[in-house]
Amino acid sequence: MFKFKPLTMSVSKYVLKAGVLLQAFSDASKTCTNANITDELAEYHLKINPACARFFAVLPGMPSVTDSVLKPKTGGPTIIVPPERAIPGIVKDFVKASSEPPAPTKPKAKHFKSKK
Amino acid sequence: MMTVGCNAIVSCVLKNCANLVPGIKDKIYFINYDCVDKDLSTFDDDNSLLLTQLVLATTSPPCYAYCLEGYNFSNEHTIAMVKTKYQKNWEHNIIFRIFDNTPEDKLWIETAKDSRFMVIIENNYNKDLTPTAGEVAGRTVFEVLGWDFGIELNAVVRDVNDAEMLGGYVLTAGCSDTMKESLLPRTLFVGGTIALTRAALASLLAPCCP
Repeated sequence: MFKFKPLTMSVSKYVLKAGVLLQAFSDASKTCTNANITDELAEYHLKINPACARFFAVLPGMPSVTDSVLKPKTGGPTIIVPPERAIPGIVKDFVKASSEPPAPTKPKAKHFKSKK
Repeated sequence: MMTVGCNAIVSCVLKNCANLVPGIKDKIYFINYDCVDKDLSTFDDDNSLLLTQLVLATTSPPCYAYCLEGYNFSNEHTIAMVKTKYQKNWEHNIIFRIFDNTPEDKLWIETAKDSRFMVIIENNYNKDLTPTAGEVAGRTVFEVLGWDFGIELNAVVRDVNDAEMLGGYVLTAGCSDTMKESLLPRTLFVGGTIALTRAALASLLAPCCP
């Protein structure tokens, strides 16, 4: 029942999120999934539709998708989409939020044993 | 037009001269409910039952669609409307069988027992294999069960003396006892063709899926 097979994916700096299929109207050769993605195809789609950056799991120049990226220990927001390719305003808020120091936490109240 | 309820019939259902084909394929796909990125998944603008892109969340460990292979039409699927006093909802059911009893199979069943998941099924019925003008083949093939809440294992039976199962497992998954689905199973049809739908489905699959 349990079998393993190697993944056969094109070598590209870009990785789409699982299940994503990018299409260009009237040009079937630009249809793109993780199975056939190339740098040229990815850059074509990002150029004609910058908003499709949200469908990418990995974009060059950004941290790869690792545990530390997806689950930051500091609890701050994670930015995967590069600011120059994302929708203005949203990323600005993200950057602002991530650059802010974490809110100071209240020191835990000491528990004293009540004197009998 | 005033309507009594919240909806009204606005189209016709015409006779279907295509040959209906019953049953679903032996391979079904399980996706953990929390793995589906509902914000990035898209529906047809005019039909909320037509899922035009199913996107998985980017997490670590990665999310996948895990397949389960039955044998000889061992997977069954039913839908039933559930009418309560004020509302009508849908029960999504799937019965599948595991013809084995290895520790790995037991572990799979134990993890599934405590999970909520969506299931992608592939119908044998593929209408319009020779598409006419304006019709597209492949829109009756893939369906997603449990989009709203996910479905769960409701029964697991292993009868070692059963003449048909010969000691295999019969598993029944469906909606929660209280929360039923608001709509019928969503049709999965990506990119406007069955080939692109299969390509999109392939990009969801776990490495263990042949």
